[in-house]
Amino acid sequence: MNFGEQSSKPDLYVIARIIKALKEKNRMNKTALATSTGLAYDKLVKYLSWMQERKFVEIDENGFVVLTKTGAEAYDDLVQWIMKYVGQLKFPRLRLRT
Amino acid sequence: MSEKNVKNQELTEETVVAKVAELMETLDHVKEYNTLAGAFKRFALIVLSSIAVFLAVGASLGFLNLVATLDKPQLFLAALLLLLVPISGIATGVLFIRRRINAIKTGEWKEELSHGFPSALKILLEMDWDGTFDEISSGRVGYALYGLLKTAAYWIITVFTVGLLGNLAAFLVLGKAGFLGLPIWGLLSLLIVYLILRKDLSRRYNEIRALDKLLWELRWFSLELRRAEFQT
Repeated sequence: MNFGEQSSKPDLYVIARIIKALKEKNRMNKTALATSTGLAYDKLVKYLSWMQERKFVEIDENGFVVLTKTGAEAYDDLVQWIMKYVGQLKFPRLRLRT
Repeated sequence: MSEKNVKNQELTEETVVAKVAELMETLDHVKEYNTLAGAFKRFALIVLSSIAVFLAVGASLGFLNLVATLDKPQLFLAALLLLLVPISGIATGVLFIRRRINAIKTGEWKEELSHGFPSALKILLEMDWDGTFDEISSGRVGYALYGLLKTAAYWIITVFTVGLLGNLAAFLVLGKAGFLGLPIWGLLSLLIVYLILRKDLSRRYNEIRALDKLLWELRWFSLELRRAEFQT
């Protein structure tokens, strides 16, 4: 699946945005989801199709996008994955003296 | 997912956002060091020009034998006025650097980061790590050179101030000036500058070490982030 002109890899940021929006609202129609995530409708449809393949989301009989348990877990894994690296960072205190 | 797990997950998300905010704040500070490094040439030009003017005028007074036309109080006053040239050179240089640093835009990431975890993720994934490393490296070198030049300028001013005051004291007490040479004033001034700037130099050294540490920390982090593949 082609997500952009240069890459066929999905953008983790976009996926995270979609899942987060669905986590907050439970179920949303595609137009509202596109507005909420700031994505162009056709781009959102491509992402939803990719997410459906991986069972992250389902489209119910009324056309509403629903987050699945797998999708919620994938988001949680993503948070934990980032936390694993970011959590280890220690920043020195910098104070420039002129 | 239980309520406790949901709470923990929210906490983890908040921690990630807080850590990214900390990272961005640190990088805002790096911008200051980098600006200082960028403005260093102009700073060096201002300071070195003022010292050159000071030395040139001082030497001209000697070569043209204008000193002979002045009596001792006038000579002392002229030397004191002449010292204002490098002092104002340093002051102008430091003001120039401060203005450049104050003009830096910081915190532009705050609005983006206010959207929570996805935005934190975006910031991390889209970060120009190589550019950031270059900024830290050049900022570190610029800061070290800035500190060295400023110390050297203080030393030159102190040499002439101490020499002037020493000669004045010698003239008042012994009735003759110039009983100690420039090397003695130079060493004495070096000691004075060291004693005055000791804490400042140590803090500068610690800052450079901190930048070094940050560079290694971020190198490790970016490498881990690039190497790791999130499995979906």
